[in-house]
Amino acid sequence: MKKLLPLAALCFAAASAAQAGEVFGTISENGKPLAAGATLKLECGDASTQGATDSYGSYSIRTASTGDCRLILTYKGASPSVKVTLFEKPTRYDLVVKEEGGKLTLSRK
Amino acid sequence: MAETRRDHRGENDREDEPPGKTPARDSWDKLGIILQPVGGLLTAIAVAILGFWTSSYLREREQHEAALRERLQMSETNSRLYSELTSKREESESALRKDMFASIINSFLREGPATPEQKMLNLELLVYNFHESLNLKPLFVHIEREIKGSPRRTEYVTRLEQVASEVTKKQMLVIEEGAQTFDATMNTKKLSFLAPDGEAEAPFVAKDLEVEGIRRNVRIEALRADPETQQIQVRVTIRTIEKGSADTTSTELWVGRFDFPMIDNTRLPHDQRLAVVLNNFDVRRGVADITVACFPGKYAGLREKPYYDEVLAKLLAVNRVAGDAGPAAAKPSAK
Repeated sequence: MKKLLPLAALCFAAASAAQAGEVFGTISENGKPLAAGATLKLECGDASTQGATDSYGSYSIRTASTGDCRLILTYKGASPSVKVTLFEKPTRYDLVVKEEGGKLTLSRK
Repeated sequence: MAETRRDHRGENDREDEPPGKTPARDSWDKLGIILQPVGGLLTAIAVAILGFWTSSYLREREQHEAALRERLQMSETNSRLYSELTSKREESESALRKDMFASIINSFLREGPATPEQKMLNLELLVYNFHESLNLKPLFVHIEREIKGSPRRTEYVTRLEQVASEVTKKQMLVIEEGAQTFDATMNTKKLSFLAPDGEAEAPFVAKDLEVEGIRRNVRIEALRADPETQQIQVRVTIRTIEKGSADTTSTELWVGRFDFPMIDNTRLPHDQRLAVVLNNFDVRRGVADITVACFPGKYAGLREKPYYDEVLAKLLAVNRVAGDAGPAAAKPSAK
């Protein structure tokens, strides 16, 4: 039993590490990178993680889970979102903000 | 008028003077006497100055030309020396790489008791040193097959995937400098692609990519997915619109973890390439993430030989541009 416990702990740690996901990329509007400080929220089930764009419009958010998640951007008083799929390896999502009919949309480049 | 009258009077006076007596000289005569030798002297001085100035100008010009020639010669010598050194370094590097390649590849081809660990190490050496020159996919697949029965299989597979992922990232970093890309998520169970907003699904994804002024519409269609080998089969349809006419080409290809964009790509007209890269494959969820890149041929691997007609066409285009730029560049100065 004593021998099995560290092994189980190791397996659990490995499984947790393998399940961690990361989404990264850039956000642009009209071909220009978004200003620094635009807030992003990655919602995966009940868990959510926050991030922000830097001065180059780049972002990177890590979360404990993988699979289908929703990336929400808070910008110009609106909250456009896009569905993203997270893998065990980091996934790149270069996004574009568009204004269509007075409504902000977020989509993959 | 008065002066003229005086002159006439002077002449009459001289005529009146008795012969043998020296005539009286006025100021003009005196000035003429003085200026006669001085004029010669001034001419001589002017000729001397002109001669001195011309000779010094010619000397200066000669010195300047000599300095220019010397500089040119020095630059030529330096260039020759640099090219000699570079070619010698290239030669020695090629010899080293050749020896290294021969010894590594022999370890795979030779029948013998090489352990999986040794094979993995050799593969890593080969990949990190020759990933721009060789298609190493067969070797990856071979090693993956060989380690199937190994007790350390998971560790080796992770190592294989890490090496492949690292090389793909390195190559993409180079390619993206001149490439136009787009990413897409594929549902490998339904054989469909997620729309850019991530909501709707369609059997294909299409985008316009413009590289070096050539606009192409690239359409990727999901055909098959093999969860066991973690590969997807896609149909790539490229529509090029040029000078009013549209040219459509289509090809089907398998894309896996061990396909590297610099090597595994489709050659397009105008010395351009199109590569599909598999970034992620989640077998359990049935999703894969791909990147499609259209890039100039100069970013392709060293394995590819250039097509001579394309090289000639490029050279002719460069000459044409230089010829066009010549008169245009000369115009402002002519004004």
